[in-house]
Amino acid sequence: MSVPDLELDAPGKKVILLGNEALARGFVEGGLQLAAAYPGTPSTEIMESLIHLGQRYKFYTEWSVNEKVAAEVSIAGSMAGLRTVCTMKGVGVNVASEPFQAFTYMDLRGGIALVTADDPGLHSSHTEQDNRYYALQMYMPVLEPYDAQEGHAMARQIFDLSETWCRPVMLRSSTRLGHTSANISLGKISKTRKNLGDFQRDPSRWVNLPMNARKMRKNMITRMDKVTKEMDDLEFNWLEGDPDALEGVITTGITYGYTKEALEILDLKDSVRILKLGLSYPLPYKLIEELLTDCERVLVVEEVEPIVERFVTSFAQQRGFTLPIHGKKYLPRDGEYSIDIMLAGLAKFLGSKDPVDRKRIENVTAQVQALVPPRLPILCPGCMHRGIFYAMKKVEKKLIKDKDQKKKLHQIVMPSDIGCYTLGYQPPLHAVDTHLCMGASIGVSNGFAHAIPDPIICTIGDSTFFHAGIPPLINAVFNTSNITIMILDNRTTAMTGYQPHPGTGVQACGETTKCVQIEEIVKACGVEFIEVVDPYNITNSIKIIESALKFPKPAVIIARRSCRMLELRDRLKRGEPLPNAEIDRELCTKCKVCLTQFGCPAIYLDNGEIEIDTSLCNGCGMCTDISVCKFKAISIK
Amino acid sequence: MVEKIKSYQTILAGVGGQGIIYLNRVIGRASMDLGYKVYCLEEHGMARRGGSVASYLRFGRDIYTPVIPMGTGDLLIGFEIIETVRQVPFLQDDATIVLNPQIIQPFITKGEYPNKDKLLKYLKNSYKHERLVIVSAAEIAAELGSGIIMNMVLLGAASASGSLPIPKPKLISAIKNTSLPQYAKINLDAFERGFESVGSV
Repeated sequence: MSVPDLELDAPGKKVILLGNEALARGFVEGGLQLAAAYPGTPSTEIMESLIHLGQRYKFYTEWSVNEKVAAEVSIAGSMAGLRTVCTMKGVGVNVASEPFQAFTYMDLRGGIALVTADDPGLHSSHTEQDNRYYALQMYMPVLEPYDAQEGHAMARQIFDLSETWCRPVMLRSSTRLGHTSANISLGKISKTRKNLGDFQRDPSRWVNLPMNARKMRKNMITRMDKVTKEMDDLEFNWLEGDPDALEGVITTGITYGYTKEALEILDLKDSVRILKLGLSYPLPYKLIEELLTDCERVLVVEEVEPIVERFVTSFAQQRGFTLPIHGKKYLPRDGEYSIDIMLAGLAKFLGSKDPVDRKRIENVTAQVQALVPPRLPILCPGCMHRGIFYAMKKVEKKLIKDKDQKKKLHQIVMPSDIGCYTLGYQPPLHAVDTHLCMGASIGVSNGFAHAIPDPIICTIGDSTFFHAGIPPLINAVFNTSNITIMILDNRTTAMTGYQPHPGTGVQACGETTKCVQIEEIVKACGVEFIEVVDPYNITNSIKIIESALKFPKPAVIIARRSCRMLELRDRLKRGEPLPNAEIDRELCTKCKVCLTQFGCPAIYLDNGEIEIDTSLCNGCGMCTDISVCKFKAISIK
Repeated sequence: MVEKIKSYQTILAGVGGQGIIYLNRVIGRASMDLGYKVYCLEEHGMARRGGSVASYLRFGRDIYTPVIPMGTGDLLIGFEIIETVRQVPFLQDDATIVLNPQIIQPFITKGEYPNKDKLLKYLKNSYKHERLVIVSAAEIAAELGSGIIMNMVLLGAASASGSLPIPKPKLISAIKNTSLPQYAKINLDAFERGFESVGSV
């Protein structure tokens, strides 16, 4: 087997790596000794790469049960003197923030990096939060690379910086950075890596009781003041352009590239001075002072929140500068930036004209939108979640129609959670009523149980249940919340690309381990109604859901079946042919329930006839269930 | 020695599983071998769930970001018609489109499916004849025995179209250098068939 470029021991070799791979490679070149993470787009490939590198270069890696535990695992590594990293998607930092908030008070030992893969533009997240705010609160310097090459260089140096500064360091990545591949020049990886540290008992350092924490806080403030003084000499911050230019632009992270290229298109690159920031906190105040002294106007360019803008404005005020300093006046707070956005913002700021023919682009965009509908992300053909959502909606319909009910019901409320099954939101299922954050399906259902009269059925995936579903389940038992909880166990963390979790019996590196049984946890939490169903048997699921709804206390239904995509992968490997669904024209009444209510993407309408797209159908057989096709017109061949 | 171009923008469009990421690796590798800086923006996450996939590859001597401005694309390699039309706003007027004229309908529960002929007509009306290269890449790939090598057929056609500023031998060596050994030959065959198909039009 040839060694993938990511893992090559070939210093100086030029290869193409994905941004997330480049970060992983940089950490390992910088002496990483331990890594922990919870998967989440757009961060997942960092840890996947670290797992491969850890197997070759011998250091410990784990998929943790959630971001908080990942943070605690890496913090322990630092306490033991090891260089550690934990990676997560932007919203994961909400979960990891508590241990980091405490640990940052302490004088760390091994260098420690927290990678936050933020998501301006909300490609795959539910908030556009700017995690630099966490960094401010935690006195953590923030590295923000502008491209994959710089990310690689920053990752390589991050542990040295963390140890020199005695501060955990945040590396803020983004979808664009992590999911862009670029040419990288490989660095050296040391093969002699100590992977066991030592814990030195020192309660005044590692126990943050108030009497220690007061001293720790003073120490943390002093340390951060010292770090600030070093910013002007750091290689990731620099001033460029004509020193006589009267217009200044301060760029952070990825906006450097957008700014450079937009200025080039505007043909104004010689009349603007750029202060390129590789760290957005703390700031290089000598460089800023130079820019403020030389320029007459300054524009701060940063995605999402005006953090640097506020720092620069308040610094200018303190130092008596009166020049105008702008940022969000010319550039948006929401969405991700691009060359197009910079062209508009810079043209306005510099009093020039956006040279791009926007009318033409608007016209073409309008023509195209009229021609092609969006290709909505929907549940895959054969996805078990479709069977469960369809069953839930069937139960709801029956309940609304049921005239024998004492109280007239008009809905079942269906909170859901984070995972593939969130796609149950899409038509025609419409089976996701609320969606907040990991574990909130059960938490919110607890509240609804005491706030509204409607029945409640919530859905949560297996990995999400382990991550944050157990405390709210205990709460439901404790506070007698009358809710039905569907745990959708597809035996993997599917949404992020099939990472193992505690219920799979496999660790990050593929080692087998104890399989933590969901039903045993549920039972131990005190739940008295526990059923396991096969989601492909929709008629049975309907029956079980109906009896769960009648149960006066929390009821749990575990719907269990392997993710269809994983199963297909295995079948293809074994060379097994896939069955297909087939329509019997004589039996089909064209009622369209399979299309407009069940909604499998392999079913479509052609000249009024229901057809099966055999390239998409993988023969799961759910559409043959009597609850989907009561005319028995579909069969599996 | 060819003069180094400032920047060149390629867009690859299709749906999940059509081999877009590998095609990117080949073009990226070839441009890197020519001494260019390369950025290739990949759309992740929704690929396996039948969503649109678009990938933006830039190379040049003077680039700093992977995201291409609207209306500046030089070459659009389309694996599927709907997704190809969707990317047209990123193209400049004299861009080249290399298209596999296959339609994969999206899932819709109401309204009408897009019409293949209407979409082709739109492309034909918008782009000059010599800049719209239609290659039955899926069929050629199937003839060669594997649908997954459609990407190499399209690359061959893009190379023959004359738009892609990478010499053919560089593309061939990039295919050799990035293919798994057992697939190198079929990938190269597919590339040649794509190249020839344009010459014979």
